[in-house]
Amino acid sequence: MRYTDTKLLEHLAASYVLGTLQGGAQRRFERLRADRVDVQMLVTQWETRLGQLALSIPAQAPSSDLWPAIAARTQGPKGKLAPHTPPAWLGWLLPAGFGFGGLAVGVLAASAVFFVAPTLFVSSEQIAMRSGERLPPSYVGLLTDAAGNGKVLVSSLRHGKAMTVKIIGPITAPPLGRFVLWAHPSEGVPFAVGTVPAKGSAVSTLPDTSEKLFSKVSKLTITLETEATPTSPHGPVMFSGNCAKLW
Amino acid sequence: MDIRGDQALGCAKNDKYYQTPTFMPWRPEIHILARMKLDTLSLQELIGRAAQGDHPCFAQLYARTHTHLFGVAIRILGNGQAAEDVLQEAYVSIWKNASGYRSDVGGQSIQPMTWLIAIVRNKALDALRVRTRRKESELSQDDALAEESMGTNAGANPSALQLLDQATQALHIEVCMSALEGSYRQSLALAYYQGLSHTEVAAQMGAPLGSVKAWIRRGLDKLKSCLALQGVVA
Repeated sequence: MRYTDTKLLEHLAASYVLGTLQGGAQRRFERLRADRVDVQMLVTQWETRLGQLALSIPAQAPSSDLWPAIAARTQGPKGKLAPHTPPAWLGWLLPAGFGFGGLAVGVLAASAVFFVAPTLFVSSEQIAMRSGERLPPSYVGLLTDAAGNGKVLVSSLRHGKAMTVKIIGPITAPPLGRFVLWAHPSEGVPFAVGTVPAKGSAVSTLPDTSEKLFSKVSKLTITLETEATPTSPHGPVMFSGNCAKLW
Repeated sequence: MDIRGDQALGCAKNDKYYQTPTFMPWRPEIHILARMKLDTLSLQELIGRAAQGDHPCFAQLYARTHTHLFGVAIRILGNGQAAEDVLQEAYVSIWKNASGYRSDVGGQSIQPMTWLIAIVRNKALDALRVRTRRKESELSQDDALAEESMGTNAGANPSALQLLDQATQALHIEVCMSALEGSYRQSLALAYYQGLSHTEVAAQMGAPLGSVKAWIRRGLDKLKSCLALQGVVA
């Protein structure tokens, strides 16, 4: 399955948070979430929405034994947690140990098939990406100053809505105004795609997928703007660079 | 819960501002002041301090949140002991991963309670899935007695639909959500508050599986649009 349909991703994220996405679909979605920032954001949004519904659930007090049990497992240096005693309700699993032997054999067999014929499970493109042989299809831009020093790296997955702006060279925060990132289509007027942090990196949500926004963009610039919401670049160009398709 | 002494009065002892006072029975105002200062810490600040290994702050986080989170867990699991086991796992996970909490993701503000509820729900749903694989006949008498003693029978608690109606009322989206048919809201409520799968919702409502899937999907879409009107993840 290709996870490029934004409606499908939205539906999967909602089902995942609700708890109705189960089995293989749940595991595939969790792998996808681990790989893609835009999917993580969708999940976060649904956790926020559905979390509102939990506020009507009446509070209840557990037994007084619970906190001592938690404290016993968490006190002391972090990372050196006390061993956990399996919960009593999992006791039924013990007699089923022999059954798990068969399960383990099944898992080993499935693993062997996966390594022998991985394309039965995922596409060759995904295998290449996971093995590090290929980067995921993305739009990237390296913006430099007038002297050609790399300053800002912009990246976004081709079919994602999240954009990362990373400062890779020292830049001086302006005393007045702020740095605004502009996309310049080969035909048409430039449009603002976000602001630039003074240091580190920032992830923001784009109004549409990168494919729709950047497919005809050839150049990126960062200007210093004093207006709160500039509609076109008026300030001086601080950094500029090309927008490239990485696939 | 029983959190006494230092842990009840303030976070880390070496913290200048929140330092725990020596117990002086003749100076009760000192302890009252320490507690008041502790109360000024937000959940976000408590999580941040827990991430730095401040166990008393973690204890305070537990004190403020555990009854609500236990309510979430027991709503899904019913059984009191199972819900306590899940809550124990959840808080250990919170302690280990407190540094992973982000108050803002891509411009989206994340409330601490949202983060905590998600952790507890996920663990409760995992436990529920494991348990539903058991045959009903394998449920021990102890489990049944525990459920009874915790008062989790349906008659003692509001139904899933009642909880959904209460939540939508509190969120001021009840008019917006009432545009949905009752079966749509009922199926969404069963899936959310009781952690039921599509198949289980269909069985409980006596409705075709395909219909239930469509109802829940439509319910989620409606919830999204209604909350957006209130500025929640617009």
